[in-house]
Amino acid sequence: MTQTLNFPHQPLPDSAENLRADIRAFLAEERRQGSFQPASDSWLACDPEFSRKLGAAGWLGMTWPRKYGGAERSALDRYVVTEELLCAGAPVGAHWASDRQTGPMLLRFGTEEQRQTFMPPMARGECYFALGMSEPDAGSDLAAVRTRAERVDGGWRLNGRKIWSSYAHRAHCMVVLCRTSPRDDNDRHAGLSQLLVEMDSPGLQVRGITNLAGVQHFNEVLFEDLFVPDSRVVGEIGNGWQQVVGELAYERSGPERFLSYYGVLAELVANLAAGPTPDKATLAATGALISQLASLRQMSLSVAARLEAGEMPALEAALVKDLGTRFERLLPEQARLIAGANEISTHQGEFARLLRGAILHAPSATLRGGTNEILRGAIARGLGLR
Amino acid sequence: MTDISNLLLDAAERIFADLASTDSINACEQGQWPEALWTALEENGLTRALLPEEQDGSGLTLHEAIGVLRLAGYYAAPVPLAETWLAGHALATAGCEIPRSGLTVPSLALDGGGLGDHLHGVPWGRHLPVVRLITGPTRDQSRLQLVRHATVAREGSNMAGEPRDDIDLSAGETVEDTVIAWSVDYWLALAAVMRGAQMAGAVRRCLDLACSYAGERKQFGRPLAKFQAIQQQLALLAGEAAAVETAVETAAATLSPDAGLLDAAVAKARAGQAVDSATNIAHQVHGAMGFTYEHRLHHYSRRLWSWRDDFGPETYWNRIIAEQALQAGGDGLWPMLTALGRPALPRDRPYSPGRRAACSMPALSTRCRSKQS
Repeated sequence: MTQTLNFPHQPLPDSAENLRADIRAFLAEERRQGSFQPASDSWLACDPEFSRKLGAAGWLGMTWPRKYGGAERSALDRYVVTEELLCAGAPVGAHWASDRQTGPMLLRFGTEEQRQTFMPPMARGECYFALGMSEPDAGSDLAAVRTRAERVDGGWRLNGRKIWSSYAHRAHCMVVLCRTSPRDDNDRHAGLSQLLVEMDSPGLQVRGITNLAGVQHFNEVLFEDLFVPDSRVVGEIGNGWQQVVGELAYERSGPERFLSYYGVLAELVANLAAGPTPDKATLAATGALISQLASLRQMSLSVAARLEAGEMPALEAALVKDLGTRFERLLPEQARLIAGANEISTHQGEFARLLRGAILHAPSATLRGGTNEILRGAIARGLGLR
Repeated sequence: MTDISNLLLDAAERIFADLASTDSINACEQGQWPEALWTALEENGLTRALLPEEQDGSGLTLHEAIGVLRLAGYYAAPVPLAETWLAGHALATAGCEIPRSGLTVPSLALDGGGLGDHLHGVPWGRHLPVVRLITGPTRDQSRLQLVRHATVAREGSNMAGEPRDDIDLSAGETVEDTVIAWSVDYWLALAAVMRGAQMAGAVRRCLDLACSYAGERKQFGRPLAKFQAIQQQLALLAGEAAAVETAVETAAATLSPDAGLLDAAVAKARAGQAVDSATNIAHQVHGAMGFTYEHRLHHYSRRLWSWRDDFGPETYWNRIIAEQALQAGGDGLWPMLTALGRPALPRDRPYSPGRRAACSMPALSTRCRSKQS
């Protein structure tokens, strides 16, 4: 069946909108206290203390059942909190993976014991997860993973290495995608499983990788005869691929795919508003960034509403990520040009600081979570081309 | 979507598919009025979709009806449907009698009063009575005029060969001259959303034509669609189509005399921004064949190149947005953005599975493909 593009207009329900004032007040107070400095790409900025504050305020694990530390709110409520945090440039990197990915995954595939053990501290902002997906020879081609787990008495023995794991050096645990049976070239997606590994396990080594901005946020993680007990298998052995790709729509269409450098736009507007009335070309160029952002947000909200209703709009979600991350690449470059034409400094001041962070981080926008080229391949499949 | 709007959509699709043929579009370009097509639209109530039932209309909201305009764009229907809807809606709102004929509105003059009685580039101006709004007497009110038998100073056309005539209203017969509780800004925003809906349809058709052509045309022993380079381009085009549809859908749902102006601005701006990329990709995929008059791709690309300038080009609307943003300031920008897409009135129903966007149609790609084969 050919998928079609469907983005019904669906404004956020009042229940979600009503949260906005609360989270804005919280963030304003944190800013006043100087607890964080707004950053570009703040979902990669790690601040455990800030994560604990969010947990205490009830803004982590919002959608999870109460018995696991959640608040049983809708995903649209969480959407509001997430976009407000991102726009404020708040440091949400410490809990990002556990709140967005691991928690929902345990809820869907984990055992009762795993949920009881890990989800309440995740929701308190005390337990952080890293993702163990990519490998040196398995990037976009995730099915090529070679990290393997062999059956041993009472569990599995893990050997191999993962790479690009954000904050593995600060995380408590990691979910590792690995081979539990040899690779079958006729079914490359078979024989993969997910194991939950605690970072202080013997046989685990984390090597930091410094990115081009001079920051260590991602890592190489090595496993050498690391023992994983049966109780830490997530979901079913051999079902790892389905567990990983099944919820890509959630990860692809969220506001982090177009708001990572929002601060640059806000500072640009602040600078333009403070100066002499800009010429028409400046206004048109600035407005073009805003109208693109506004339409992206509506697309993302529409996908969010469909997800919340139990649908799986995979094609639409992929389109949001491709358009959104390309906007993230465009925004700093356009903002720089507009600034240059309006004598806004790109050397000093808040705009310059955020712009610099955005330019240095932007190359990752169209790579992380799967490259845009692979994504467009998936879109082409959705269009019936392949 | 209401039953009545589904009925209208089905009727519209049938009529456009039958009567907006390549031949009839080309005939219109030679100056012929599309009599059969227009009559069918009138007889099926499609020219009066927004009018109240007392005025023999369907009483639909813009959001309920917008899919019809999108289909008109999808089929490049050479008719002044958006113009007739807009003019009729204004007349009805002002309590005037609505003529049975089609109607038109000034397209290039952003404020009908600013240019006096000499209007440039009026769509189908040689055929139709003109409705225009003039700013005032207050900020939220305008003067509304309906003028018949105006002088056609010059017959012209846009890049798509649709009539765009210079009209002199001074010698015409002013049938209505009254006050309407609309601002000229609202009138222009309505026009922009309606033209934006046609653009959404035309961009979508560019996508569908390019996808089916890529599936049929073989080079180096395989269909173009199997080349990654082509797939990547078509995925980008799909993104443009989706962005325009969403922006128009949002604006159609939120625009009212009191609210939604910025959503309308986003819609027309986003539609305009999509045109270069969308037509570029569609033409590149079609190769030289798409550059011929024989192939119908130009029905859509030439319309997009024209329509993007109707009722305010993207630069105009982006300026409006930026002016608002600068007024809001750096800290006010985000609250301005989160207020977008929210209807002023209580929202309709919560999203339920399977609900389709008003501005989207199921399986257009598939249908397009089966028609070609």
